[in-house]
This record gives sequence, C-alpha cells and structure tokens, in this order.
Amino acid sequence: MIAEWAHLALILALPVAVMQALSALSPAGMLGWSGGFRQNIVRWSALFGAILTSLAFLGLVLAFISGDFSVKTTFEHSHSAKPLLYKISGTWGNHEGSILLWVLILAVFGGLLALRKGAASRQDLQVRALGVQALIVIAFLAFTIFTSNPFERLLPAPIEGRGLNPLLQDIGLALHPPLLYFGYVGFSITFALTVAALLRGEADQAWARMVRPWAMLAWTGLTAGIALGSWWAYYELGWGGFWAWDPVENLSFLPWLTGTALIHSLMVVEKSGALRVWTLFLGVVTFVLAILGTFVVRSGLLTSVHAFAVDPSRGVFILAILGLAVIAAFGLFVWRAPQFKPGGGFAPVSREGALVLNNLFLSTGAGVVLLGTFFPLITEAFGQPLTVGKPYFDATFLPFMVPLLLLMALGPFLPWRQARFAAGSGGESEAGPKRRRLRLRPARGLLTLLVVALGLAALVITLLSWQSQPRLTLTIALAMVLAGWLLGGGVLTLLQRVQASGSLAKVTLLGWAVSLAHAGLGIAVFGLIAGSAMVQERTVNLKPGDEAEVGHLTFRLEGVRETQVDPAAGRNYISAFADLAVLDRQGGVQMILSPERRFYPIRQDSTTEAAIHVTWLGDIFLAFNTQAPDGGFIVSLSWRPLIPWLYFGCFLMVVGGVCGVLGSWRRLARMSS
Amino acid sequence: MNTNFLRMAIFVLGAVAIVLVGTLLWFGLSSQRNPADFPTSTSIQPDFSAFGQGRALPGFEDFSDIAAVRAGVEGPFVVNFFASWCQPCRLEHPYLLEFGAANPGRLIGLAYRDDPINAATYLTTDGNPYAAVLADTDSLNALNFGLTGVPETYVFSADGNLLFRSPGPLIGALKSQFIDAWAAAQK
Amino acid sequence: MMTNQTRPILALLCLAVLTSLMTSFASAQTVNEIRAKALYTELRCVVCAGQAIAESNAELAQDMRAQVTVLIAANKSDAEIRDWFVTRYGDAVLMNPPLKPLTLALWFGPLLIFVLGAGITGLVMMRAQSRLVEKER
Repeated sequence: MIAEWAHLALILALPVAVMQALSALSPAGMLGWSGGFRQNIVRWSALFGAILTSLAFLGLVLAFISGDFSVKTTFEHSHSAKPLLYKISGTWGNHEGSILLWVLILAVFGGLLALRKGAASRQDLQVRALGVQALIVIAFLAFTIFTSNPFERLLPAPIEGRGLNPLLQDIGLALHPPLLYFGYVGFSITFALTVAALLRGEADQAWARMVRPWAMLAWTGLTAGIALGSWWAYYELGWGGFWAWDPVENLSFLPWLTGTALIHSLMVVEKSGALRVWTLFLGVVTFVLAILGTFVVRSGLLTSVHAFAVDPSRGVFILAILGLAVIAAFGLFVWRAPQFKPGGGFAPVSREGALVLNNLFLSTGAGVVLLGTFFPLITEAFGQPLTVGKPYFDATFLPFMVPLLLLMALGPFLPWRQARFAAGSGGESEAGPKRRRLRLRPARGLLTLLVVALGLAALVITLLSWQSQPRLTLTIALAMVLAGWLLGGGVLTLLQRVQASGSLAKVTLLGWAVSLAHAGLGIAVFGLIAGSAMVQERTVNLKPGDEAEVGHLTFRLEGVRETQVDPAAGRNYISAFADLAVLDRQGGVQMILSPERRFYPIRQDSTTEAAIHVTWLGDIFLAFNTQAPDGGFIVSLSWRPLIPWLYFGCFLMVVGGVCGVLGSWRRLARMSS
Repeated sequence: MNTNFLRMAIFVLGAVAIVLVGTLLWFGLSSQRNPADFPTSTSIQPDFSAFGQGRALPGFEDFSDIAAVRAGVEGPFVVNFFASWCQPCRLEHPYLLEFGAANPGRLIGLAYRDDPINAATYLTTDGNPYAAVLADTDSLNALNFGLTGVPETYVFSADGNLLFRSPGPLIGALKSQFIDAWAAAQK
Repeated sequence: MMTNQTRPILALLCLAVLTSLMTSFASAQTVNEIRAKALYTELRCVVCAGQAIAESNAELAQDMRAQVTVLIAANKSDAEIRDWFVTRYGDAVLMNPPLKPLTLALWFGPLLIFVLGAGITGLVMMRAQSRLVEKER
C-alpha cells in the first residue's frame, strides 16, 4: 500500500513542477498576477514539489526495509537476509532508485532555494531560477516515471528478492552515490541561477553573492563524493589503486574541475564585476557536464569497471534532456553574452589575474579529460578502436596542474586589482594602517619557503639517486616539493589571516575555507605522489609457514580459515581469511592481518576485502587474491606510503568547503538584510 | 554589425558542434555495441609459431608436434578455444559436435587454462568434436591468437589466412556468421 | 620575526620529505621488476572493462603478465614487448595510444586547448589592464 501512495506522490509532483515552471517563466502581465503573488505561487509549488518527491523516496525506502517484493525494484535488488543498513542503501544501489534519488535531491534543492523569501531586489531572480529548476525537475521526473519507474509492480508478488550486487554491499559505496549526486545536482541550482541571469540580462555582484553558497555546497558534495569513491576503490578492488582514469571517474571529475573554476571566478565577479560572461559560461557548462556524467553512467556508453544495468531507451531519453539543456542554455548564452558590460579592470599580476590563470588551467584540464574520455568513441565510430588509459591522462593532464598548484600558494597573497606588494587592499577584513607590513611578510615567507624547498629537493635527489630510476626519483622529489609548497601556502594563508584579524578566533569563515582547502590539497598531493609512485608491492604464492619480504616488512602466512553464511549475524557470504603475520626484525609476530575473500552464494559472485593497517607513515595493504593450483595461496603484499594523508587532505578540503558554504551564506544574509 | 556577425558565426559553429557530438553519442547508443568488449579484428593474423605446442590430454592422441597437427588439416580449418570450466562453451558444444562430424579433420581444439585431466573428462562425457586437441597449458597459443576469452573460434583459409573470428559461443547470430564464413572458406 | 612564521611550515616540510625518504629507501627492486611493473600498467586487460593488466586478476591478465616477464627474460626491449602484443591484439591493447595520423588530435589536442585558452586569457588580461589604466587616469 505504501508503494501506491509513494507512486502517487511521485506522479503528482509532475503537474506541480509544470505549474511552477509555467507561473515562473510566463511573460510578465500574461497571468495578470502581481510580482509578490507570482513569487508566492512559485515558492509554494517548489516546496510542495520537494515534499511530494521526499514522500515518494521515503515510500521506496520503506518498501526496501519491509521487503515488499511486489515492487519490482525491491525484488531485483534486495533480499530479506540483508543487513538493515544495506537494505536502505540498496534503495539507491540500482538504476531506478538512484534516479529517484537524483530527482529527490533536485526537488529538495529547489525547495531550499524557495525557502527564503528573496529580498525585493532579488525576487525576480529567485522566481526565474525556480522556473528553470522546475524545467529540470520536469525533465527528470518524466524520465523517472516513463522509463525508470521504481514503483513498477510484480503480480503475484515473489517471496524472496534477488539480493544485491555484493560489490555494492559496502559502507563506502552506500554513501558514495548520494554525495556524488548531491554535488552533481547541486550544480543545477547554479545552472538555474545562471540561466535566470541570462534571461534577465543581468549578472551583478549581488547575483554572484547569491550563487556562491550554492556553488560551494555542490563543490563540497562532489569533493566528498569523489574522495569517497576513490577510497572505496582503494580498499575494495584489492589493487590499492585510488584513481584509474576510468571514464565514470573522469565524468565525475569534469564538473569538479569546472565547478572549482566557477567558485574562483565567482569571487572576481563579486569583487569587481569582471569575468561575468565567462562565469555565466562556467555556470552552464558545469551542470551540462553533470548531466553528461549521468547520461554516460546510465546508458553504459563507455567502457568502465563501474558496470550498471544498461538500457538504450533510457540513454536516448537522457540524451534528449542533455541536448535540450545544451541548445537552450548555450543559445541563450550566445544571444545574451554581448549585452553584459565588462566589469572593473585589474592588473595581470593581481588576485584577479591569479584567479583568471586558475580558470585557464582548470578549464584546460577539463578539456583534456573530456577529449581523452571520448576519443575512443570517436575512433570507434571510424572503425578504429583504441584505448585511452591512465598513462595518457598522467602525461597530458598533470603538466597543466603543476603551474596551477604553483600559483595556488601565491594567489591568496596577491592584492585585488593591483599587484604592487606594498599597496592595495588584501584580505577579507584588514585594518588600514597595518597593510604595508602585513603585505611584506608573507612575500618574504614564501621566498624563504621556495629556497628551502628547492634545497630539500636537491637533498632528496642526491640521497635517492643510487636507485635505478633517476628520472622517477627526480619527478617524485619535485612533486614532493610542490606539495610542500602548496601546504606551506595554505598554512601561510591562515597565518596571514590571523595577523590581519588579530587572533585565530577572528579569522572569517571564508578565510578558513581558502586555507583549509588549499592546505588540504597540498596534503592530499603528498599522499597522491607517494601512494602512486613509491609503492612497494609483491604478489606471491605462499603456503602456510612461508615468509615473504616487501620493502622493510616481513610477512608470514600463518594459515587460512573459512566462515560460513550466517544470516543472523548479517552475513550472506562465505569468507576465506588468509592470516598473515607481520614480523619484526627478531622474527617475532608484531600483529596479524587477515585479508578476506568473500563468496556470495546467492549471486555466485566474489569480492576481495583487503586488510589494511593504517599508520602515520603509510598503509600495510594486503589482499587475498585466490588459491593457486599447487595448493598455495596467492596474496599481494604491499606497503603504501602516506596514503592516509591523501584522504586526510580530502577531508580538510571538504571541511574547507563547508566553511565556504557557511561563510558565503552568512555574507549573503548580511548583505541582503 | 560586427557583434551580430560574430554572434551568427558562433551560432552556426555551435549548431554544427552540437549536431556532431549528438550524432556521436547517438552512435554510441544505437549500435549493437558493448563497450566492455575488447575489439577483435580479422586483419590481425594469429601467430602460428607455437601452434601445436601444449600438453596432450590423457587418453587422447598426442598432437604436440606441429607436423602432426598440420598433417591432419588440409584445406580450410577451424581453431576453437574452450575449457571444461567455461559455461558458455557448453552452449556451443552441441553445434561443435555437429560441425566436427560434418567436417572431419577440420576442427582443432585448444583447451585454455585447463587441467588436461578435466579437459579429457569433459570431452569423454560430452563428446569430442575435435580432430586434434591439446591443452594450451602456458597460454602461449591463446596470446598468439589474440584470444579475448573462451570460447573463441577462428576460421582459416587453406593457406592459413584468418577469415573470421567469433569472440563468443557459436549460437545465434555468431553461429550463422560462422556458417557463412565457413562456406566462403570452402570456395 | 619572519622565522616565527615559517618555522611550522619548515617543520612540516621536513617531516614530509623525511617520511618520503624513509619510505622509499626501504628496498631496491631489480631493474626487471620495475620494467615489468611499468609494462603492466601500459597493457590493457582484454577481458576487463578498460583496466590495465596490472589491476586485474582475470586469467588472461595473468597470462599477459607472465608473458611480459618471459619476454623481459628473453632480453626484449620495452618497445619490442609492446609490439609483441600489438601484433596480436591491435593498437587497442595499449593503454597509451600510439602516435599516428588518427591520434594526432588526441596527442596535440591538449596543447591546442591550452594555447587557445592562453590566447583568450591574454586578451582578457590586456583588456582588464586597459580598463584599470583608463579608470585611474
């Protein structure tokens, strides 16, 4: 019965969205409504639509929890023997449910935009943005209802479900899609506000201030989603890889790159009104890339380890949405762009100049990733299949990131408009007379930092040059210096803000945001370099009692044990553990780590659960691959230095993002009250 | 006027780009393609240098000698990779039996990554369609033939040119393509 | 004064470099092991969805890895080993597509994108500069 009500709520949300779009976007005077009345109608339909969609989603979650297998989605993707947590996450662990989640986030964000009654000056912008948002909701609601209805029924109702893909039965993967969608769909609000600005022919500083919290919110969700996905790949796939340049990964990375550019260019618009045409372009592009990502994932267009159920008719539907969004938004953009007057000027060496370069490198990076991801499809269309993999992206994408990271540490110290170190107004809230002194210190600090960093690089190179790979050593050393430079820049940014405001407690949220995000990236880069270039790894065939050495570690296989299926304990799989002892120098057992292989009898499928021992210096990463024909056990043993710092860095970036959301939100509230 | 011209130019360029990209994505959707499949091509000729190397199946004649294998093969011939552990192989097995009986001496089997004992048991219980069969124990023949999975079947002309390859079991569309290719090879 | 500011950063930097030293000192792999590992990342596993053979447990990936070590032991160069696989599987077996007329756009596209972007950036910067000068006048 719940499923029926939920289905009804979902269907009702469609006319509500249509009404929202019509009343928001119809020409003024046609309906004979006053501005305030129109605003209220639009706002209330957005809120009502958000409630209806939430009810529909809640209904599906309840169907999963209660095991209502008369719902086809539940039957195919759930099982009564599954733990409660994974019953819930199973709701979005399949195509229909995940699309419903997409629509849910879309509608809820629309509701949030409608929640606050915009100030009179922003009323028209809010109404039109809600109208655009309603159009997106209509498109995806129609997609859900007509091609991927999660409430399709089965008669008679089966007694038991078909279980869940074992790879999805995992905490990382339970949280990864909602966060990723949070990011993807968050950019629908920046898109709606952008298109509304294009419709009005006006994108002023107040507009930028309004977009910023939403852009930051989406960026934060996307960052967390990507990091979580990478962490999942790291511990679950058993190879210790965290980024494979897989098409599906790339497609989540694309809106991240342009979204990061957007956050930075919005600052320029808010400060001086410059770069607005470019910023509007980014606002459109970022969400278009998010739809593109959804399209590729849901249609199975490109080769990916992330296999999803594929249905061409669904692909055609999203392709149509994508095409409409692109044609309408870019058509409007090209039509309106010349009307926007250029904003304030700035010198090449200035905060604005640095932000422009940031946009150049990020957009180039996005262009490269887009080219590499879709190139195999192009050559395949000409009958010449090709593979474009990790080595290509490493070689073409990373070079553009080096200047970006170099600039990143410097950017926050440059004054707006003009670059003379002794002049101009700098941070968010600086006192006048102190400026001159404050300006000098970070500059000298950075120079010192550079000298020291280069000295350390020289040291690392000499110390490591006895190794057989001088080129690799050099690259690692330089990359480490770059990461140190970046981290230093982030910390110095914070110190500068502390000095400017007088105490740590007085640093603005936006000051925290930039420091944490930049320092976090620096820390993540340390982990990234070490975790990809400095890994010590061996795959060996061991019999119980055998020892193997990897780097500074010695392992001994103590034995292999098995556990059986135990529904009571929430275990619907058979496990085999390889107990590996980590030995100290005297041969004593330091600890025992047990990588696991799981076999799921219901799906006839197996997964690897790596055993990871996390330390400050790095991870001991063990995976149990398989049993060898000779009776031995094949395990891969590795030492992965600094990896925890990659995820700690990402965590700092997310915290920085949250600070950015709150800070820019507070500023918006202050400025508009 | 300048702005208008620029605007028109951008519109036209944009429209062309959208049509091109749209066509590409449409192509990606509409064709019967599975992007996960590794592209196979008959323009790549298998390497016969290790052909016939392998281990004999117990109870079966030992063909681990190139001359012996080739001697049994005059005219066009077919090479089929299979394994006793491979479920899709069982789908095409009845047809292979039929084909082997109708074309004596033309079908060569290579057991991929299979224990010779298991392969022998499989062929004894389910029937042996092959004129000559070996276990490709070190997988050298598999790599030399550009194998992308089992079962995979290769049709060669009398002079050893690859005419057709079936990257999956000989059932449905692949089976009828195989029959056509074999008919063409006879000519 | 200034050292007060930079000291924590210096400390952090030293820590990072030291950890990197400690972790990379640990063992020296043989040249052949390093070569094999690099080649594993350059060859595509033909039964997997776009993964390199370094990242797959599939039978064919194991076979391909074994073949790489056999070829290295037979004193083949990296280029010869790549060719060995290309003649059997075609260009698609390389994770890194070869430079040919077909892939010119792929390999020079990034540069082109950058040059184009840099040109626009230069233009934007020049205009912004002239607006600044105008305003200050």
